[in-house]
Amino acid sequence: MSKNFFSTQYWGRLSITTKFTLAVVVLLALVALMALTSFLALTSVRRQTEAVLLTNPQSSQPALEMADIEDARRQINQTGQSATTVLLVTIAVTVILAFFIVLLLNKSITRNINRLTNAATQLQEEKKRSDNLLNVVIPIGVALSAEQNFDRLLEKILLEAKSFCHADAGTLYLRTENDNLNFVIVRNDSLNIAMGGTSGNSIDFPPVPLFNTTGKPNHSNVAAHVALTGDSINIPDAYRAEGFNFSGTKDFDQTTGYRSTSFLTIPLKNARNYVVGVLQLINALDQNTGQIVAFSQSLEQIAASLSSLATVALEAYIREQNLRQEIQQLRIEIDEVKRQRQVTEIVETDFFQDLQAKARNIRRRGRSSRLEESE
Amino acid sequence: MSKTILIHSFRHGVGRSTIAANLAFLLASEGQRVAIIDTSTKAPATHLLFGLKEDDMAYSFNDYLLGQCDIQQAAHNVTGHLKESLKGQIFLVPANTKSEKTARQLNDAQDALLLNTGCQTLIDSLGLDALLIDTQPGVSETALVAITVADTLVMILGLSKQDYQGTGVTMDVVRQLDVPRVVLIVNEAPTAFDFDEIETKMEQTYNCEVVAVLPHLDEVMALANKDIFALRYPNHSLTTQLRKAAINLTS
Repeated sequence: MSKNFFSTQYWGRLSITTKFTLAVVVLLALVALMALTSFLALTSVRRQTEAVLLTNPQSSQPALEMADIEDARRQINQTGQSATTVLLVTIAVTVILAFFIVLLLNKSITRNINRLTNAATQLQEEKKRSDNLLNVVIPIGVALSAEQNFDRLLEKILLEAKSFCHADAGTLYLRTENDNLNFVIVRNDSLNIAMGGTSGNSIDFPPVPLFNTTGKPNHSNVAAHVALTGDSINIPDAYRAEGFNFSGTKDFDQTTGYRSTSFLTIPLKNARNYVVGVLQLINALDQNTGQIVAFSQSLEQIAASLSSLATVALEAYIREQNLRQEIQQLRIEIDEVKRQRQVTEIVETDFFQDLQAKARNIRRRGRSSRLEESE
Repeated sequence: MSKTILIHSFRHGVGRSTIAANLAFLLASEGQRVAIIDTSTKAPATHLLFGLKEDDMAYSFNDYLLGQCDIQQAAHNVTGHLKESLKGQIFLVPANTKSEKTARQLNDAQDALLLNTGCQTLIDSLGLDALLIDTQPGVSETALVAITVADTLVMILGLSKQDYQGTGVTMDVVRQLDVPRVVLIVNEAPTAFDFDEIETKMEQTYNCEVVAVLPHLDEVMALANKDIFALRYPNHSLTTQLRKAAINLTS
């Protein structure tokens, strides 16, 4: 494995501690460089001064000539100035480098903090989801399994999912044997519509066919599509959704003045991956503002868990119903011809004739002995 | 007056021995003196339910048939084996599974008289209130011989096509052996069914009284012939049903 020190990937993968250590080492090196430069500059000034003093013997004498002194001072000044320049440049370079290092470190730290914050948020969401599963979905599942009335069971499935997802409206479809999706429960809170289930209002919407008359699968209706594919579909705005025909919804909106916006459509899939029904939630409402929003991904996942529990309850009910139907048609079928033949085969044997005689004998004796007893 | 009640079925595994043991237990808990004769020498199970080990059976029903002992010697008092003290007593005449003994079973018309004598002796010597006989299933000679001594024949059946046909045949044959009373117990009925309807349909089909329709219960299955249900679950609805049936059968 070759290490490419120039790739961002390599640096990105380093831990923040390593990066910090590296930065401090570089800074220390710069400071050391600065100290060294200063030392060299001062040494140079001192040497120059000494050189001037040595090369001008007069200057060491008490009576100095002005010109010599001026010359020496100029030379010293020059050396001093160049040393100062070197120092200033070194300081400037150090400061600029330090600035960039701090900038880079800051970026890296920010990135790490962001990553940590994201992880924390994710963790929190996971926890919320597992809490929801444990405290909401499973109890609902248990309640569904205990429901003995089919209408109430269907209604409960929709109402629980609807309330959990803060949806304004919803529809529960059941798949029929001839591959139609029948509307079984329809609810719309803001329009005050309750059809099917225990509401006592019948549903006059025509069923949604899964296949058209030529046998082509109906993928244009979102509920039919979900039933056919077995995958959930989450649409933020039906009016802007591509690939689905929402004309029925739009017709409904036109007559009622409703605005169907966000749609969450979930299959009710059994253990054999067969879709027995479709749960559709419409217009998720923001809990704080009451505004229509899209269904969040986490809601989608919870709703999917809820729908699998609902399917279990539904299947159990249907199974029990089928059993009940069977008993209603419980025909205790006996082949009378065969029965007669089998009976004849037994009773006509010598053994049976003999036994029959003995049985009569035993019964007669039993009766007489009991008569004696009672006497 | 003592009653001889024969617990019979067309098929193996419909709960014949289990029901016989429970009925005996419930009658004994009511203070009756009860005995069970296990004539199903091919696959006896009753001794297991009463915790009687084969090594502890000095004599069995087979020994009586072989003329090796008196019937009283083959009767084991199993009341003490139960975890509960009973007002009555339970005696068990077990069947032996050892091969040399199973060769001898009820299979001759003459054995009807032998069995009848055995039953009478047992009733008299032990002062029994009720005698239960667990049979070989079906219409085998062994089963038919045992039927001749019954005052009441309890036919047990499940809800299967095989049982419907076989029970029909058995009932016809039984009626030609002059059994004074023939009743049905439907066992292991799935709880999803309407039990009243089962009862009505069975009564119509076989033209005889249905004493009980017992549900299929996991608790019964879990006991797996290791314990007596009515003893383990004294307040269970199934126990109540069985008690009612036991009282009905001895009345």
